[in-house]
Amino acid sequence: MAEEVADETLGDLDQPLEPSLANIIEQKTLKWVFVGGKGGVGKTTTSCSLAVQLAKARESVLIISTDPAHNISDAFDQKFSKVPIKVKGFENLYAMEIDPNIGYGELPDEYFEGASDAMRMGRDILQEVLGAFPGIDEAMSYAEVMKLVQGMNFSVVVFDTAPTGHTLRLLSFPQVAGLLGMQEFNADEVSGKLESILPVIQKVNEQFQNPDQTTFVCVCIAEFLSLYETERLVQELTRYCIDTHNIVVNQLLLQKPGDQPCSMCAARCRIQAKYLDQIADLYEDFHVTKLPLLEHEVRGVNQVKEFSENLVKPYMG
Amino acid sequence: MMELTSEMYLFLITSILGSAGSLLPFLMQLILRTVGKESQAERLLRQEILKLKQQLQTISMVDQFASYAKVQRKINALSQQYKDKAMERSVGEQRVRMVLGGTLRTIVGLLCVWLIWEHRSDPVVSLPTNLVWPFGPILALPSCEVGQISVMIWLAVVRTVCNKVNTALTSPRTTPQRATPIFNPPPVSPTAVPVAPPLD
Repeated sequence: MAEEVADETLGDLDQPLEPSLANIIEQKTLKWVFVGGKGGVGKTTTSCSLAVQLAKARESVLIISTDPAHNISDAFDQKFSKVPIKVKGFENLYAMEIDPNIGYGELPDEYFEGASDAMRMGRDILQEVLGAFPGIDEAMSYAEVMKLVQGMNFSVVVFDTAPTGHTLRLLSFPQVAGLLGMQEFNADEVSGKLESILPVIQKVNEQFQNPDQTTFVCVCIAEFLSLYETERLVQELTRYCIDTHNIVVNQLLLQKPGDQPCSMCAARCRIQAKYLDQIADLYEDFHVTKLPLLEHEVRGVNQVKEFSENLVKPYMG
Repeated sequence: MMELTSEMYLFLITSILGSAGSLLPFLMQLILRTVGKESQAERLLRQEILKLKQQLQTISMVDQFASYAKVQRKINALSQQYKDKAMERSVGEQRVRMVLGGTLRTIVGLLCVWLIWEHRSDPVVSLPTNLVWPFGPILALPSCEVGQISVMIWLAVVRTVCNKVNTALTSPRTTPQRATPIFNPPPVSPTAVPVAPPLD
């Protein structure tokens, strides 16, 4: 979880780590980047910005959103769907939106090429049975997505809206393979489909727990509840052996020098400063990137591109 | 001191072997309890965790979240260590239990078979013929004279009685003696989640 200091000189050990996401751009072995955090902190803005920056340094990038609110469609001002579509204005950036709640039973038929009627019926039965297990719907969707995505060979995949606790748990346990293996259905093709997912899940487990291939970026704001949730998220990730060493603090009020702030802004700045100190104290072995609250919303390709610069170069007002 | 006749000797041996099957679990519990106790390291860990939890009470989560979270992290790490150690111990204990139990049972079983064979025509108790009617021939199996009770029969009787006594004694209790880890669940929470923050 902690950034390895082997490559920094001894004198730098006391210095905080570089406050940007450049480390992710530079780590060429990364294949899966999750961007998560609770409650409207700016995950989508951050994940889209990160995808934009990654697209500059990689061969092909896919950003996947599992948020039913279709936020990346809003961010890039373009309609996306359940299959990867190139983002307008980019050569190598693709986007995809899936709804994890829809689950295995309603994935588009392209996922079931050559499926017979028996298989479709089996799929519905499967849907019913799997509904009994919390989070397994999501896990199955993820498994299907993984399978699809692995076949497409993107250099790196950015996930917006990280998996919920349930899915994290399921994805990180090899036992899920055993659980799914226990299902026996009338249609042989259905269990065949399941069996084809098992190795994917296992392979995905291994990749998610490999810090060279997977990392998690936690987005938060400088308020108590967000900090509390971030700590909870970090602990949970550590428990499931998923690497995380980046924190993004968003929506910060940055006073321009010479400005006379109103009493409200001054007060909010003080509150944010207090929590920024606590973040710096608690996450001294993380990269803590600070993002500003701007006077405009970050919507549309140009604004996202502009905003994405803040991920690699600290904002100076 | 009265000399033991061969009959009384046989009676004793048979009774002991018959009840051994039921006494075995208790014996093993005793052995395991002395050998497999919570080690020093585990006790220290538990104390350390309790100390840290007390420390946590004194830190205000809202005002000093960083310190609070750091202490909580230490607690989580130590709890995990404790769980791992306890799990190791319980696994080792299970193994010992199985091996020991299996060995002892085999020995007792073999001794019973030997006893029955060696003394198939020696009685455990000799009774007048009219007392054992009409079960005389059965009681004398396999090769005793009618009126005698053979080793095999007595062994069977003793074992049945002991089993019944065992089930009668253990059923009302919610058995902690069954194959579960011996460590008493200490006041250590296994999850990493702090309680809901107070609302200001």
